[in-house]
Amino acid sequence: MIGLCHSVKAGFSALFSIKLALFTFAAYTMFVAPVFADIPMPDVPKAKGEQCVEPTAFMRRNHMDILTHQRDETLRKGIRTKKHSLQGCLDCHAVFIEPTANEQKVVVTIKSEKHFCNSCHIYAAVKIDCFDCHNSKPFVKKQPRHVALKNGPDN
Amino acid sequence: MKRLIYQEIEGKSPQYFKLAAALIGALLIGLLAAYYMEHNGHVVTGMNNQIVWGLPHVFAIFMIIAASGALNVASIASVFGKTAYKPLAPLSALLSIALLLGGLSILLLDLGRPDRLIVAMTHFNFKSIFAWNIILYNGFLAIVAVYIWTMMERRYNKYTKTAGMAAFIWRLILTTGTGSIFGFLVAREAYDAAIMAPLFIVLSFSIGLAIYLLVLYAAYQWTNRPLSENLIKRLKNLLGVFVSGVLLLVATFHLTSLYAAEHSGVD
Amino acid sequence: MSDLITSKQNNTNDTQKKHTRRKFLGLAAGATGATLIAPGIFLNHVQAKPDADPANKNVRWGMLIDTNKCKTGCDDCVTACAEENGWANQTGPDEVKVQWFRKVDLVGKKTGREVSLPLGCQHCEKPPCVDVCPTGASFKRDDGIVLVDKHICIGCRYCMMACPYKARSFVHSPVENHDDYMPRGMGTVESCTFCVHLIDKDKSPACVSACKEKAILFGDLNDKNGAIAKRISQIASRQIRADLRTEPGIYFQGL
Repeated sequence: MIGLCHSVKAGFSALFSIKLALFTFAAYTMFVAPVFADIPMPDVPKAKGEQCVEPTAFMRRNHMDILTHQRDETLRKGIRTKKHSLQGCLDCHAVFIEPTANEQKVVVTIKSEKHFCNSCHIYAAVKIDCFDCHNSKPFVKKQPRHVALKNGPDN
Repeated sequence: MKRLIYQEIEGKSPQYFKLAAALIGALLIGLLAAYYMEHNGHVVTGMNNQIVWGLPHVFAIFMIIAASGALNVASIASVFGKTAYKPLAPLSALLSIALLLGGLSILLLDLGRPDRLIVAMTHFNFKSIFAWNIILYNGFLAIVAVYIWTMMERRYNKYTKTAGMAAFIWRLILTTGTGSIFGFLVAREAYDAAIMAPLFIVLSFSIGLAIYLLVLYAAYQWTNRPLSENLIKRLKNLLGVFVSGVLLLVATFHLTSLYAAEHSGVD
Repeated sequence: MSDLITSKQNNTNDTQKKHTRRKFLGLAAGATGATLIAPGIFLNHVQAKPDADPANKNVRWGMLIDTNKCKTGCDDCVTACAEENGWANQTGPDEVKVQWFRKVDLVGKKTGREVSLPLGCQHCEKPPCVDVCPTGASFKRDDGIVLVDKHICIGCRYCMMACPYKARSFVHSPVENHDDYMPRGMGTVESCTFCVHLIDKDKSPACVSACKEKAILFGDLNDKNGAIAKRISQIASRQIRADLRTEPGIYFQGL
């Protein structure tokens, strides 16, 4: 406001003054303020193993494209490679919490904000709908409900 | 040639505000209904696994068909050259857009996943009549918007005939497409008939004109503007012709169903 | 309830055991395996389809259901399908429950003959549901299985209208306890997948395994030496609503 008044006094037109004020405000917010503020960063839990199937920086940028491509390969073509599969991600990036000190560790599902995917997606406010359908926990070996016939598909 | 003068409705009378309030109220009720359905499931609209498309679709199709038919009067003016109807044309085109938007919003909110609208707009299976309809509906909105523009902007009045013709043809294709949604269903013998497309076209003529006449009457009565008795009489007769046309096609449809042994179980 | 998670399971464990059992399999499975691995070359044992391979377009999966063996009141196949694919414990009103597979009991109008049969997606050669889907979510995989791509399904239910067999169901309520192998969610449409997650690992669909009478035979219709093609060429069988000419992949014996 003060700057606005000064610039008007200095002879600039009102419109220019307004634009100048807005620009200054935007520049301050974007470049100056963060240096001094305490910006919360996402708390990404550590995963199993040494590294991901792809380098971290690559994954941060491109994991959505990898998943989108893989889903079409698996569903439409039947190619079930594990490297880029969603279940592959969940197997390593499982997060465990202890509900109380004495209880055993429990794996979190997407309902919790501690889930690996949520740790960034809540921060970035990008809604994902993968887990409307997909399971968000690592695979558990299923008890065979019905034993597959000995001789395979052809009876 | 008499010059056409467009006059604004003043928009300050209590009745005007009451009307606006009533319409906004209706809109809010519609939104509340959509919210209720999203949270309580489609079953509240009467839909279940046997009745897949229920009451919402009935209304949606009604409004879409009415939309294409409401453009009739404008077509009479621009395409068929009856200049006496020119003053009535912009209302007809605007009503057509409004009805189409109404019908489409019902359909969109009734989808199982309305959040996937972008997906619906970017993935098209061109073997599906539904996919074609998505393109036809959006094209219709654009063409009629251009048509209104040529009518209201005096410099472009010379293009009104072309725009009107384009809108007329587009809307015939659109109505055929909407009828084919049902006509192309092999599984449902009650619908699987080639006559669905022409039936929908004649229905659009009659329903659209009827709704237009109601709106026209209301608009002129409430703003105390004179409306030519002669014009109304002719439109009434036209409506009579259209309704008879509908009767004819519906009768044909059902009689054929009843007659053929293959279909007789259906009717 | 806590879930103790074991280390990432190696899915090939099961298949390894079955290899030895299957080594002495007859021509049928061997030929199927041959078409999967190297067309034209005959091999003596069946291997699971390698993960990296796409579905084989020379294969057309189909079923032969012997309704003479099918008893009224028995719904083992339906229960098995429900448990395998995660639609078993549904709450809410009956008319909105999802149903991939169902038993239909018929009585002949003029003959009075009673027959019972299981009915689900027929995996047609020319599926009407695929033709009408506006986004292309309903599709036919190369090996003949008709599936719903739930990533792009918008839930318009046009495919439900188009299916002559009422095979498709709309998921009305949110899904709790998502299944590991069969993702399914609210707002999309689903139907029998021929247990694609099992047959890609060379196992039988759940209904086939569960039937005590062995009434359902599953296999490759294109394989002239396979059990199913042979049986269809020998006994009288028919498809339901074959007059619609969608070429269903499921044949019924005894109808």
